[in-house]
Amino acid sequence: MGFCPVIAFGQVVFGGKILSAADSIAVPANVELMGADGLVRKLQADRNGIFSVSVPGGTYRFVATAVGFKAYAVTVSIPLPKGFVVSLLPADNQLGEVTVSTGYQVLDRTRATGSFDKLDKTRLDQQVGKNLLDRLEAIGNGLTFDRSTSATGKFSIRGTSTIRGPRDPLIVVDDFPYSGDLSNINPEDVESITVLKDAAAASIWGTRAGNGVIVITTKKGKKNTPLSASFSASSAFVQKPDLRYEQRISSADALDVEQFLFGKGYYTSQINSSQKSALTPFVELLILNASGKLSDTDLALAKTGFAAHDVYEDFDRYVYKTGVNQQYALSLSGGGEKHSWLVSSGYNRNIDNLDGENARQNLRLSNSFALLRNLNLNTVFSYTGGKVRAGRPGIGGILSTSSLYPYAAFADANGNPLPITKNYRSGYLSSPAIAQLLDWSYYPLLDNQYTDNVTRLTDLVASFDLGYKLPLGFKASLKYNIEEQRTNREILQQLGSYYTRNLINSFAQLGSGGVVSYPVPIGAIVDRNEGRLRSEQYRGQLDFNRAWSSHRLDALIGVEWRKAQSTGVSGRMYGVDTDKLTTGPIDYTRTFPNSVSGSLAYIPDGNGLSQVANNYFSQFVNMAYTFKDTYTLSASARADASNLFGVATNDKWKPLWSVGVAWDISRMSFFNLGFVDQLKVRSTLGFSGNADPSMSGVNTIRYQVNSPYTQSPYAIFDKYANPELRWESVRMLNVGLDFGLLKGRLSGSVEYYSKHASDLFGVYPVDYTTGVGTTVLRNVAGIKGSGVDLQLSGRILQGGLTWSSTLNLSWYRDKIAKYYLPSVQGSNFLQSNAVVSGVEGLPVYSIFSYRWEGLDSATGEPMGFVNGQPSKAYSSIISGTKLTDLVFHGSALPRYFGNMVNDFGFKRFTLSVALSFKFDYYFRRRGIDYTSLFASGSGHADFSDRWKSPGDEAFTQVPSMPYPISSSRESFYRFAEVLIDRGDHIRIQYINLDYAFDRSLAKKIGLKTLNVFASLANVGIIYRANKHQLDPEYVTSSFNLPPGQTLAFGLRASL
Amino acid sequence: MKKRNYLGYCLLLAVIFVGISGCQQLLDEKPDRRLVIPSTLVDFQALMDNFGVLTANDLISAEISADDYYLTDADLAALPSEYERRMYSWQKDNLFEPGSNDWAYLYKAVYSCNAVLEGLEASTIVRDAGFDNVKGQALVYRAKCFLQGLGVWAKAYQVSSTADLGIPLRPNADFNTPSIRATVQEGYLKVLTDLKAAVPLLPEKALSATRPSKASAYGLLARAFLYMGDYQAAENYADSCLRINGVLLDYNKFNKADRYPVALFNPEVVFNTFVPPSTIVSSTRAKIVPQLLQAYQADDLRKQIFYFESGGAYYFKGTYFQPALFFGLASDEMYLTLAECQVRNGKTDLGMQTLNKLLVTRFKTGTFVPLVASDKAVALDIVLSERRKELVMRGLRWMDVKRLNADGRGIVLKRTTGGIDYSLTPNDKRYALPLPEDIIALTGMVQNER
Repeated sequence: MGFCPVIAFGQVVFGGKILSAADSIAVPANVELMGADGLVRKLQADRNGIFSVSVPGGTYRFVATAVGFKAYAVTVSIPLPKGFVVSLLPADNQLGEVTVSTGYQVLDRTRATGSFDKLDKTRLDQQVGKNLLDRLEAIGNGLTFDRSTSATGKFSIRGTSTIRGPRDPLIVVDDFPYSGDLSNINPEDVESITVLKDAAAASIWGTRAGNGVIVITTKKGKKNTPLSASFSASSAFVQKPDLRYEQRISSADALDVEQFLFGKGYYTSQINSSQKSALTPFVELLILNASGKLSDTDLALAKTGFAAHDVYEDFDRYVYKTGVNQQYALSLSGGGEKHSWLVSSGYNRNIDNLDGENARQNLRLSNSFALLRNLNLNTVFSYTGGKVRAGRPGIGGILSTSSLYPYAAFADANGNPLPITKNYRSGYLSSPAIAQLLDWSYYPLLDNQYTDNVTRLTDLVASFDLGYKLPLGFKASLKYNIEEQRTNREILQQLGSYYTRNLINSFAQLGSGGVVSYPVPIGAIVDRNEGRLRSEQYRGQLDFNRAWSSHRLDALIGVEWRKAQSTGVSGRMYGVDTDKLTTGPIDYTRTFPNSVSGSLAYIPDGNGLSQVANNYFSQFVNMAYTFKDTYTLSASARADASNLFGVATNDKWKPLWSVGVAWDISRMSFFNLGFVDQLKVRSTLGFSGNADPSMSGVNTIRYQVNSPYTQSPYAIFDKYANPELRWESVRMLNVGLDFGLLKGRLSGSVEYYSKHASDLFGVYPVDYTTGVGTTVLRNVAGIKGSGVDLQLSGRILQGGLTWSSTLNLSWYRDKIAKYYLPSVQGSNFLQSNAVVSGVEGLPVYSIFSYRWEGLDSATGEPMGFVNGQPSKAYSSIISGTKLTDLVFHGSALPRYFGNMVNDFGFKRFTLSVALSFKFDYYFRRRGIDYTSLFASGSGHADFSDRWKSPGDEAFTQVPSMPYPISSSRESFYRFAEVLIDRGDHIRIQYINLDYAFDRSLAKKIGLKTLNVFASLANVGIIYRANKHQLDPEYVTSSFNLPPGQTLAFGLRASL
Repeated sequence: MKKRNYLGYCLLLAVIFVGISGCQQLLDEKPDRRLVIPSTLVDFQALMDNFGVLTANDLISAEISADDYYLTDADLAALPSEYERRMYSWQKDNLFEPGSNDWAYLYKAVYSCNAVLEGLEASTIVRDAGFDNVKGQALVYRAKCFLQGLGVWAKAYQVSSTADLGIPLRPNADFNTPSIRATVQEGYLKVLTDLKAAVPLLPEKALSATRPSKASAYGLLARAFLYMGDYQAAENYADSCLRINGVLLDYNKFNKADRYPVALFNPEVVFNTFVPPSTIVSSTRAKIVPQLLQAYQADDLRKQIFYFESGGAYYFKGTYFQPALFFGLASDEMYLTLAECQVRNGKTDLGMQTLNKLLVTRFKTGTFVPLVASDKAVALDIVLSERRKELVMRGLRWMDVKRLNADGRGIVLKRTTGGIDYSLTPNDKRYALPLPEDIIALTGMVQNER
């Protein structure tokens, strides 16, 4: 097909057609024409791939781009003698993708100088049911979840850059930071995710980018596309977690310990106590036995009965169930010349292992209008409605007193619920005075029936983007985003619930002659908590994009401000009759003696108000100059200020900047390596920084509730004046090489980066004579870090069986360059979570331990060292061991980590297997802690391997059971060398099997495409260096169990 | 065409204008409405009303070290903290758990006082009675802390011992100021100076007994002078305190069978400070020594009001701030201090009268026979015996033993645990407890010789 050039008013009509090289289907690609006059003309081909434009005759550079295709560029001389047809080659891999979004601009990848990792929808969709952030660990580059320095897990991009400040990365959704809960976003609405990794990211996004930036782009309608629809549905089954993962002491061992302690008189004071606090059932029997009311035979019999029972079996049988997750999504889109649109909706309903429900509905509408020739308006409206109903209490939720004895029974042999010992001794509860009160027993399996804990959420987001094209390549735009999230939580605890009965009984007043009065009225207790989050963001931006002859300049400048306010109201009602909706009266002004202990207490009122505001004001500028599409020079700068409290205005501002260069070697004339498609080097250098919110030039105080003594609000110190604190400052250099080889069969990038951070924040032990506590925040150290991120994508097999693979491998190493503080006390560097180490040259987060000399062969006591000599003087070991005397094991953060996703294709099947791995790091495992074993009756299963008699030291390192307890011995053992293990492991993140139906087959049932899939997530560890069956990602805190495997089935269709 | 371009520029200008004008207001908004930079009198009073720091953390070490109670070997072995066990048997070192101990509680309160005193001085608040009141409260709280600290970590006050080291008297709220131990004499002088300065600033009685008042300043002055051996001054101040609050409770009005017979904030309470009983001195373990129990006469109501019997042993119920231990000031202490000083100052009969006035309220109605003393020495013996019987578990016994031994009383403390006898002879170095070892390591201050 050809188009004849027509001459009209000195202009020439230039037109053509764009096709896909693979199947000759028309592609509505974007077209750019750059003339010698420097003007860039942008247009889009229609749905038939046809474009046309009137331009003056001359030489132009023609570039056609489209999602999923390689960019095509050629120099054309207009008018052309004949028809102009372009065939676009398919994009081979992620790196070949054309653009990345920083949230402020969409960058052409070929001109980008910074470090970006872009993850597309196909990859993200392979993980079913997880939230977006959790999906990144299995597929991202240079990303990891750090579960060593924080128990909850902290998203970490390229290791440590800052220690304090926001714990989460900055999430940007459609150009604006997202304030709401990330789980509000329907993963099906996401088009792509870009992770900004280097200092250029921080200089774009400012001080809030300390932990990295994740830019989420949602799907939009496209111009000139016919109406299309897509649908997906899936169901997933979530297996129960392994409840025995934590290796707790067996019932038999726990009973032996109780008997031992009873014999020592350990419980005597508690038995005599007027508090009547609970003793475990076996201790109660031991008391009966000691007073002659229970024979030795019966005691032994009862003990055998208890020993045969394991509470984790009850948890497994009665409490945990298989969870079920369902997800449905539907979206419709279309577009004409002046208007394009997309509407999508989703419904998710997850029932977890504890029968908790989490349901969410999403509705999203995005529109793009060409209002005037140069004026465009893009709008997005989204609604999320959610409901979370708390499930049954699980492990760590059902407690006797502060813990749960391992032989607790939730039900009898027939499955009938049984009560367990709770706050008070069983004998006391049946005493005549107490028997007058409400039933005080606790049935773990029934309690949940009387409790209803529901949170409802509504989240509305609207955003507007008005863009106006000005002459000379300028464009002004104004963006506005408003989000309002409301949460409403209501906890109803009926009279049947233990909590309510316990509170009513505790305050009950026993009068003479059996008269009981109830200051906490009999009835349900209702707690209400309403939260409102409202954020508004404005951005004014001026862009400049212009190319002339061999030059191209892309620049933007703008200001932005953001206001986010959260308010909360909470309240409590007592004596609620849920039928008649009546409440009971309460006297909050006086104390009442506790019905058991007699100690005086006020009735808790539960009312509260809160209001928190986070405001930012920022100015930014950003530019990139490209010469001959080969050399690029970029620079950006940004200054942020926020409403930090107690800080002078000058200290609220932090300017950040970065510069970068890129050189596309494959475009050079001398470059003639045939097998290399692309070769580009790029580098950035920039600064990021972080202010700690606890930075304050003056003392600040925080008002609390009323003091019961003066009936007026009292205040506590919130922050102590810390005028010496400086901003953290991080300098980061990034050098990257992008390559494509063998016509796209192998491509990837290698990046080297180095970080130089000065004035790193850290907690520093202070002389607590100062009265500000035992630690203050100081600028503790300067660090140096460097790393390499490698990304390699290859099509290993082609033909009948295809195999392609993407490997993300990162190496990271950091060290303390300078430690500013004089602290050398070893114990300060031994904490349950890793702290900044104080030794120059060692990793920033290092694992240290007390040197271990084994067990004393006579007593089984652990032995350490004092002044180089074996010692059991535990207080002296702790107070006398200097930092330099500690054993250094290695880094607490993995030095090598990454993931590998393999896709195998055969006919219409695709099998994807994702592995992730972490190597070369250490963790501290938990062992037996006798202090907590004695106090709570629960502890580590290591107990059974403890040293019992001389000779045992040959095969065990678990110390003997001490009596009386020595807390310094326990803290020595807790941080001893024997409890350190290597964290290295490899796990399978997910396996996904997809079947794509033949298009003609799909067409018969009226569909364009149809895929069905099955997916297995949290598959498990396939290699670990430790010999204790521990998952090094789940060791820092109790009741933190690795999630169970999840099996999902689903389908995706489009028409 | 041209017009539309203007539209774009106007848009841009509007954005910049609104941006800059909104900026300052945006940055000045408080991140949390509950946050305040203390500047008003209400703020400073709110800090002084932070009862958790200022009134609820008296120094339990003074009671753990004292001799009104004992533990069985089994109960002692069952204690989760070896530090308390070591303190119980008067060990030489490692008596304080690093980081979380009496030293930390004491100086946390001192910080609040210093911050309030500095804040008040720097503020523009009108220097009126309201200002004086808050300032006086801070001075009294700080003096209370220093006085209790001297009782635990310093030897008894001796005029001749000018070099004895006391505790650091932190002068300001700047945590960069290094801690330096002042001498015992400097310490007492500081306590006196602060209290005397507070007297004219404070109202006679406060809104609540948790807040310092003129009466509490007088009471603490009486305590301090008593510890220093200045009995004339102690007599005067005890008298001044009693003139404001000389009320005594009639113990006949209490129900002995009650778990806690005496009400909180009763009229005898002058200054309500307290400490939660630590595991070692809790009413489930700490048994009252027989020697003390035997000292009560048959009609003395205190034996049944103060103690309950369980399994043949007596345990302390708690007195004026149960279930916590009341270490504050009450009029009974002032009567005893007044009586002691009157006797010591040669007014034997007057002293006995003062004592009888107190004791008559402690005996079954109609049974009390007023005590008489033939001479000063007998009178002093009587007063000191009554002092011990009345002020049980009030954090005073340790300092009383210390000062009385300095005065030549020759009291020897004895304990037996695990078959080992421990004793503390008069003026033993161990009467000044060692500073927490971690504090020594952090500051390089001189440790007490033990």
